Amino acid sequence: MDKAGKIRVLLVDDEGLFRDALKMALSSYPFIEVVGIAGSGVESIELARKLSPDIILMDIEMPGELNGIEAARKIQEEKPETGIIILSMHREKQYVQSLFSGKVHKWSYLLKQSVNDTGALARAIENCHAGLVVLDSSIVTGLMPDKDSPLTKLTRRQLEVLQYMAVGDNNGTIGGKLSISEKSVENYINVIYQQLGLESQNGIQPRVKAALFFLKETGVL
Amino acid sequence: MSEPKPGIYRTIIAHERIRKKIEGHIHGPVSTKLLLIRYAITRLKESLKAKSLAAELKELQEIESSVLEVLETHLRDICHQLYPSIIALGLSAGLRYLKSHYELNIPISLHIDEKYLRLEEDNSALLSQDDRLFIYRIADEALSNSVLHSGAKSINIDLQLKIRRLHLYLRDDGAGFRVEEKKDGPGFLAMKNYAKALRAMIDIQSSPGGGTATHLSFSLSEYLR
Repeated sequence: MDKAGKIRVLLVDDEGLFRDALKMALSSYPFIEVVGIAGSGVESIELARKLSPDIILMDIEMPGELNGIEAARKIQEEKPETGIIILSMHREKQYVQSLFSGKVHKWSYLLKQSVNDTGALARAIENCHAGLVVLDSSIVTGLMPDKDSPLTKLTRRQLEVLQYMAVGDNNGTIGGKLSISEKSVENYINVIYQQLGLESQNGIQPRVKAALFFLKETGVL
Repeated sequence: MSEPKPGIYRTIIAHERIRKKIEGHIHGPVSTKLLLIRYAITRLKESLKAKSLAAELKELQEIESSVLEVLETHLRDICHQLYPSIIALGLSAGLRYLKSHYELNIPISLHIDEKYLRLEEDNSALLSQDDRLFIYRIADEALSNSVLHSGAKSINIDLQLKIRRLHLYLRDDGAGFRVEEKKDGPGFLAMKNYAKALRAMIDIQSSPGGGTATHLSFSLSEYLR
C-alpha cells in the first residue's frame, strides 16, 4: 500500500486492449492505483522487482518463456507478500484444484468473463490484499457438499454465508446479498467456526480456513 | 546428455505447434475482443436502463447472451479440442480434466500415485509440456474409444510411479475387440505414434466381451537425476 493508502496493482496480460480496458475500469476506484503494466511473464517479474506491487492481476496464459502461473510463482519466491489474482478464461474446476493443491499463498482466481463487473474486480483486489482467498463466484455458486460431509451440519443459511466467504466477500457484502445486518453475518460466521471446529492455527486465519474447507468439501479442491 | 528425439517427434510437434498457435489466437485476441464487446454492451445496458428504454434493453440482452454463448461454449470447446492448455498445470490436472469430461457419460475412477503427486508438487516442471501433452493425447484417445465405442459401464484410470518409470493404466469393462483387426486404425496408430515420440512402451490388450486395457510405460530417468 502506498502513502495515500492505495492498493498498488500491477496488470499483466499479453492483450493490449484488455490491459487498457482493465486499467480504465480500475481508475474509477480511488483505493486502487495501477502502478505498472506488463505484457509477458518475464516482463512481469522485472516490474514486480522494480515496483513491489501489493497485488498482481495475472493472465494465466501468455505466450513466451513463462506462463502466468510460472511467473507468479517466481515473483512470490522473491516477494512472498505479493497477492496474486489469476485471470483466466477457464471455469473448469481442475484449474482451481491444480493451482490450490500446490504451495500457494495469497492466490485468488477470477474468470476474465467476470471482469465485466468492475465492482466485483475491485472488491476482489481489496479482499485479496486483506489476505482472503477470492474465487470467482460463478465457479463456487450452487456447489453442495457430499452427504457425509461435516458441512451437512450447517443450516441452509449458514451454508450460503460460507459460500459467500469462499468467493472472498466481506461481512458487509454478505449482509447486503442476504438482506441481513453485518452483525447477523458475524453471528452466523461464529456458529460456522464452532460447528466446523475452526480456530486460528499456523498463521492461517479461520476465515481463510473456512473458505478452503468449503471448497474441499464441495470438490473444488 | 539426453537421448536424441525420434523422427516422429518432430512431425508430431510440428502439428501440435500449429494447433497450439490457433488455440492461442482464439483464446487471445479473438476472446479478448469478445470480452471487450461484452464490456461495451454492459455499459450500454446501464445507459439504456437509466433512460428506461425497455425494448432496446431487451434486444441488447439477447445480443449479450449470444456473445456469451460463443465465448463460453463454442470457443471453449474448439480451444480444448485444438490444444488442452490445462496440461500447463501438470499431468495430474490433465487426467482430472479428462475424468470430469468423460464422466458425463460413464462413471470413471481415477487414482494418481501419491509419490507422483509429491514429485509434481515439488517440481512444477516435472515432465516437459510436450511429454505431458503426448501422455494426455494417448489417455484422451483411449477414453474416447471406451466411451464412444465400447459400451463400457465403468472405466478405471491409474497413474503409478514404479522404479523411475511412470505407468498409466486405462481399463474398461466394455465389449472389447480383436486387436489385430484394429491395429491399423487411425486411433491405434495415433496412440502408437505419440508413444513412439515419447520413447514409451504402449500395450493394448482387448478381446471380444473382455473389455480393453491400455498400458503406457514411460521412463522418468531424464527427469529424476
